[in-house]
Amino acid sequence: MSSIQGRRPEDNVVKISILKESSVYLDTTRRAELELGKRYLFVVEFKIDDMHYTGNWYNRPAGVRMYVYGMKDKHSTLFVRGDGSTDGWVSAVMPFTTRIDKDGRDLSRPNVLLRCYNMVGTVSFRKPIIIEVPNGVEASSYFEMDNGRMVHGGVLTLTETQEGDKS
Amino acid sequence: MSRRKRIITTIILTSVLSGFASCLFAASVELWPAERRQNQTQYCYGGDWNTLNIILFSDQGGGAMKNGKYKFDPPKSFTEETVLEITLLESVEFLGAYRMGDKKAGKEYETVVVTKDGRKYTKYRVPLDNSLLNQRIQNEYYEMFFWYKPPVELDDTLRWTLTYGQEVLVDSTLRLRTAGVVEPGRAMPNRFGFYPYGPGGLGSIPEDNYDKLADLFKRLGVTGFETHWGSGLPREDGHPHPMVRANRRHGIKNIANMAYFCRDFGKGYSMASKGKDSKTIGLVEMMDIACEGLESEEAKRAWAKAAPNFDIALYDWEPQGPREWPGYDEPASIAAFAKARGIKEPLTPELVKSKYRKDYVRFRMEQTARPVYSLQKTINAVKPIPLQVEQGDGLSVQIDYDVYGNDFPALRPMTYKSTPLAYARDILEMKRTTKVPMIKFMPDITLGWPAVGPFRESPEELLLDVIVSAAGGCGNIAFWPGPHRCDAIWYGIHEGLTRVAMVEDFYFDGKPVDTISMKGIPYRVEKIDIGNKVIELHGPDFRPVLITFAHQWKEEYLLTLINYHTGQDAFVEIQSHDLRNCFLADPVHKLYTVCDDGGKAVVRVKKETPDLWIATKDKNRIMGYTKIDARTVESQRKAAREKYLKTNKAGNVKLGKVGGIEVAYDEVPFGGGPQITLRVSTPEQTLFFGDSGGRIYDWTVKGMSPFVGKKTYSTDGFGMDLLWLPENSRWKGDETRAMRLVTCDNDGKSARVVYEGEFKNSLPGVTLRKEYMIPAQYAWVVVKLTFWNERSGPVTLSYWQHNVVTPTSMHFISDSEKPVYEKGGTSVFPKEGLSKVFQKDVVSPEEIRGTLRGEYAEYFPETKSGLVFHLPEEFMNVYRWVSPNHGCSGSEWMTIPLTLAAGESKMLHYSIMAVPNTTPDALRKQME
Repeated sequence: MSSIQGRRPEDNVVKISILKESSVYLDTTRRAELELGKRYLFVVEFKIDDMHYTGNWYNRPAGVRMYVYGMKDKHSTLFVRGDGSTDGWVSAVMPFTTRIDKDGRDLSRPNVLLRCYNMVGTVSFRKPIIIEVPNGVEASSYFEMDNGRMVHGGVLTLTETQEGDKS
Repeated sequence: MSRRKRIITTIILTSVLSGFASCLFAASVELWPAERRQNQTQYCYGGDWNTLNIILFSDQGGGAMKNGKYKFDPPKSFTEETVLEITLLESVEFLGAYRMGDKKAGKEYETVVVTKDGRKYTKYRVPLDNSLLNQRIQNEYYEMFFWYKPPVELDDTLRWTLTYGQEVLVDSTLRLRTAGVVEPGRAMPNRFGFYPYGPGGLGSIPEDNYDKLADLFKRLGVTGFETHWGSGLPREDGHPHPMVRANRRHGIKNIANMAYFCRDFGKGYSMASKGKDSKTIGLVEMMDIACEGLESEEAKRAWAKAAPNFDIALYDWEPQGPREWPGYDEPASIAAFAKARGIKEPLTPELVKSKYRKDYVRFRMEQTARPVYSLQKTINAVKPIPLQVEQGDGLSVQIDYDVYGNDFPALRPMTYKSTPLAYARDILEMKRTTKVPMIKFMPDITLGWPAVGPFRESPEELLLDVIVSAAGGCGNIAFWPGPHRCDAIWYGIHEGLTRVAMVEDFYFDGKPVDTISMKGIPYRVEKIDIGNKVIELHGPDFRPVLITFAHQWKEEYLLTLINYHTGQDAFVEIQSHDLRNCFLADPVHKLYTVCDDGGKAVVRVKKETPDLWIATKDKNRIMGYTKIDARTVESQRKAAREKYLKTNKAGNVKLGKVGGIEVAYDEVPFGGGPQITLRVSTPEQTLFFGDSGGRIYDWTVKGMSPFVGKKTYSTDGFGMDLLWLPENSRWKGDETRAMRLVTCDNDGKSARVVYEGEFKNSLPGVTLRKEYMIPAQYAWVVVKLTFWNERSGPVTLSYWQHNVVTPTSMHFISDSEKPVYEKGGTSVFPKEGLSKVFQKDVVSPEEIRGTLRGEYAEYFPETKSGLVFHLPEEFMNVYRWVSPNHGCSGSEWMTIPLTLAAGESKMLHYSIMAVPNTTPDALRKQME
């Protein structure tokens, strides 16, 4: 993401409008350089309006995926699937650990990939950041919705109707 | 040339050159499901009928039946004898073996009594049917069921081997453990039912005693069993399958699975599947054809024949969702949509994908659901019975349940999630997003299947699934696959049903309330300001793993607290003005506590456990219950906090190179596959530490041939921790359970690797902290073991260390008067001057060959190398064995019984030095 004059790069908002079912990738061009053997958190804010797609989300990529993508296919991922909108900005939080195995699979030099796959809709991203996790606490993936609702786990499912259970 | 072609060419060439004509496909075999569980455990019902299911798969097979653990290249034709041998404790009763194709589960098999560790076992020899095997192994699977009845309580081993001619294809030892006894008369829920897939795949059963089996299923809590159309219909003799009749006699409902019926009468269109016709005839026409067939007189006549045998119908429907439309949006369907919705403008595929997208999805779902209505009409034309509908994965994004769900009594989403927590989250998400009342939902849950591996490790995990389903509002629960692919893991469902029975009225007649706060208390909170927001991190973090529900019914509240944390008990603060001075009664364990004047209480919810608490002012609720004092809970919380903070303070792993020591993560082959390890390398040696039991998976030493046994995951490696006493704590699975890597430091002079874990199965409440010190110099590892007793009373244990080496020739060198013992086989060396009090605890006293003072060595003559062991003062004996058949030996030692008072800890030190290029004399000098 390039800087816009007078604004810090992380404050920029990248808005992707996809009018016809297709894929748009927003990938960093340089790898981050992180310390080996540590735990990190990737945090990014995003907003989705009227996302939808045809086909099955699990037979091919569909919807929004956010990756920390290291060497030789080592990666951690957050998924947003379903039809609908986020109704405001969502904070996505994903922990990952930098460790290297003998095949050189490694997350210590990752790219960040923010990708919209085979979908229609408007997706905005802002404030991506990677921070170190302090010792002695746990970290897990979650989404924090604009209304404060937390969705734990790495998958956020959007629905066009949010009316919910009537039991 | 593609990779596959190269492989095939290589196989053909190899076959020609070797003269051994092997198949051009691979096969695999396993004992499902225990073989692929991390805990390597097969569960059984105490004192009841059980099966072992051993399956041989072809890799050409499809669906759920493939991917066995042990791969092998099958011969072109099985001509030599193919034999399964199963070895069980003598007290386990053999009921019969059913091999695919057999007419009866026979008992006439050769048996041999064998003795191991002074206990008698029976080995059963079951030859397989080569002709059927040859036929089935091409592209399907072949299986057998071994029926047995264990004693009421059993925790032992199960060994099975598969040999073809002289070749051993598998030799596996698993843990065989009773999950519990399915006692008669335990109260089951009146409304929350259990509707699993049926036992149709079992083949013949012992003595054809279907009543015995139906009785077990009834006691377990089965409300109704699915039966596939083919096997459930009356047979030529005019009677339905005996299982169907036995179910009826025992009050279990028979459920007709209508999948084949719908496929046949719906002309293959009733699932709205994309196929070759989809571009030509489109969805609407497909549904017209399907509905016409399902409502035909022929279909009604067919159903009328079968209907008297069934109480419920199930449509295993599994349609493609309304959003999967590429290929369906042909002109006829679009025209039908325009007509149905009164749209005047000319419609194109683009318009239905954009402007009219939502309405078109809805229309497509309405069309897709039509065959279900047709099926219901046909069923009702004969005799109205409930129709359960199976579809989707739980979330409504693929299937819009509300289009038809309110018109049918039960929807069965196939919520096959790989962990209980993932399942719980799915249920919550479904509850949030679906407009159909949750009570209509009857999720199909699963323990996994061979193609994907096991999703549930233990009955306790299914207990979590049942409670979260009931508390989440589901009206029933279902299960796939049937009992033929399940061990006694259903005991967890049984236990869950008994708990739901205690509080069912709250779930069914009460209402969810959000006025009660229930939060797991963390021991550390870190806040990270990232500019626009603050990220709050907890240790431990119960927010993602503590799932709670509150239901009010009449004047009382039911609090359901489910702690999915795998490592920490949760101390949960409950707070509400509505609970002021209420009793909190736990009907499962018959305990109670009291909320204070502010409506607050703290309860402890054990890790991976559901708790039920009824908040009440009614004293009758707590009659006969034991009170838990708030101060006791608070002191438990403080102790847990102290321990957490102590062990997590330096909870990090420092990788990289300092001085001559390098620490990194690495992969090594161990137990038949690559395993991730923490590697510590010095100029002299490299050690590979694995999480499983915090064991040393491998240890390579400069100038020394490989010596660590790495073949068998469940037993091999160095530094495996077991308990010798209490006797019933042996081989309980803790030895391979993942231990937590607490610390890895490296100051260049030595590296320190610390693991911590609980003897969860063998001695719950006793934890072990294992600290390895690896110096930069010498091929040496020094180990400090600390045992903590966190139980409420004293505990006595004898520690047992298990080390497996590859040399099968090794000489024992002791520091006592008679130093060298060169013979193979089993040998025992107690501590010199061991007190008589402990002599009874020494393993295999008949194998005693000498004594030692505290140090000994193993010399490997073939590689002229050895290991020197310095044992702790408390050691009791060394136990050695050789297994030429398995190509390994063992050098183990046990301690005398050690007693730890409540809260006390005990430390032991030992070390092992590896010595290359040595002699027995040199090793002996090393000990001086």
